[in-house]
Amino acid sequence: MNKINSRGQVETQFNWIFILIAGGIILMAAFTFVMRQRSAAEMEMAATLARQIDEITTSAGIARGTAQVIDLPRIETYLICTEECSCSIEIDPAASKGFEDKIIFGPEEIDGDMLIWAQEWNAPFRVANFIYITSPANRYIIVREKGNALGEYIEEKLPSSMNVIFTESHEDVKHQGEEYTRIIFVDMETGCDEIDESFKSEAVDCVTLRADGDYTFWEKAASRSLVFEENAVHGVGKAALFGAIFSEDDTMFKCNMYTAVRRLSYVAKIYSDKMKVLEKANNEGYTEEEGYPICPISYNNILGTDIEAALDELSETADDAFGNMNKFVQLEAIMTQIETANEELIYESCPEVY
Amino acid sequence: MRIFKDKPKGQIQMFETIAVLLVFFFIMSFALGFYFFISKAGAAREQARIQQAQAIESAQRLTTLPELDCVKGGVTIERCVDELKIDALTRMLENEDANDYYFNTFGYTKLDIRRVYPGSKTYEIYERQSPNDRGSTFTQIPILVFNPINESYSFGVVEVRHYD
Repeated sequence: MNKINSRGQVETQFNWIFILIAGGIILMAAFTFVMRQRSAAEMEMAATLARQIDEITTSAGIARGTAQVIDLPRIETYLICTEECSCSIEIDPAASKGFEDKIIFGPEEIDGDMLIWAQEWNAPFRVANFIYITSPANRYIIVREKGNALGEYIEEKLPSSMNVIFTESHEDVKHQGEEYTRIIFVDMETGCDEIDESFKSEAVDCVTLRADGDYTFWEKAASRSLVFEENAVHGVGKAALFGAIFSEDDTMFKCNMYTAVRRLSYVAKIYSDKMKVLEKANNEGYTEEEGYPICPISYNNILGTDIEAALDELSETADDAFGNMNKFVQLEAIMTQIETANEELIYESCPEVY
Repeated sequence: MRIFKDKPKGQIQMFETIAVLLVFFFIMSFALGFYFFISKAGAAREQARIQQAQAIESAQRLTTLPELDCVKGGVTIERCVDELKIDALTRMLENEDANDYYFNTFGYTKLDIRRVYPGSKTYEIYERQSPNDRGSTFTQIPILVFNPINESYSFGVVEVRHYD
């Protein structure tokens, strides 16, 4: 009798042990599968978002002048530019997309929804579209004197969906609980170190804009202070002005301007080739009977400018300006020359440069 | 005799448990295999959609490039390419450095502009084939081709072959 009881007891216990082990293995397998799927789903979502943001920035670059707010899940997007000008949009370290030929200005971190805006960069003809990205939650404070032309231009152009206020005095400006604040001083001598104490422990930085294209970025030297480091840059064209307003720092601004001038060197070369053909056609004297236009002036001498030579010089200077901001002032002088010559061509009803 | 009868019962029960587990794992494997098959099909469809979108994006970018766009009196004309600029860009892209630079813009594509009427001419602007031979997606977009010398417009087509 005792032998039968002990056999039954051993069998029952063994069954339960077997069930526990098998159940444990099944649960572990299911848990591992779920965790792997979750990780894969997160990576897939990050990659999908990165691709969609890339598509949106591409279409924003094509449809210039528009501003759109993109509803996104509460996920952090990073715009990163290194000192070596390797710039990328990152959602997850595995979902990163380089700027490539795009020119994008924005803060380093954007949490959730995104405001995307684009403007043409003309130098003096259209070269590229500058894309500006920010969060609708970021606060922009523009300090300018009433009647200042540059301040009025900025006020007219900035999209209405931006969280921006215009004021004449930085003394009225206090922190109001926003995550990030940028204060922009337009043609003013005031520096970022003069802002209110309420910003001491907050995420804030400043930019000083001047009408001659000189901009200064002010970045906090320490997190709980109002001591700032200044970094000066130079921008070319009105679109660069907005680039300074949106750009995270001077590094991102410089990298994007270098990308822009590199593109300018190629576009100017194309215009130069086009002018060579137009000049040849003009010199060969197409007549009115054949329906071809007559240009009464020579492309070699438009108000003293040889347009083809000016375009070649623009291309070469732009090439030299890649990595060298000191050349930007030279670029502006040549651009003005070409702009004046082009206006003359339009006035004379000649095939123009642009 | 009763002792010998008990032994087979215990063994049968053990085999039953093992059989149940085997069937369970077999069903699980089948379900997982089916899930991965469906996921793979979904991923392939998504990839095809992305490739088509990229092909259309390339074609749209081409028609708005400053290197090709038509400008008259300071105003850009939509869906128009300048014939003199097409020639200039094609010549420029024969240079290796310029070709490498524009790879960031065009990628693995073949870009042609075909003037259809009046007259007929094909401009082969750019081509770079993908190292992976996985086929291609073809897109066409109608455009105007402008000649600034005689200020005439022609009908044309932008043809983009996007290599996968």
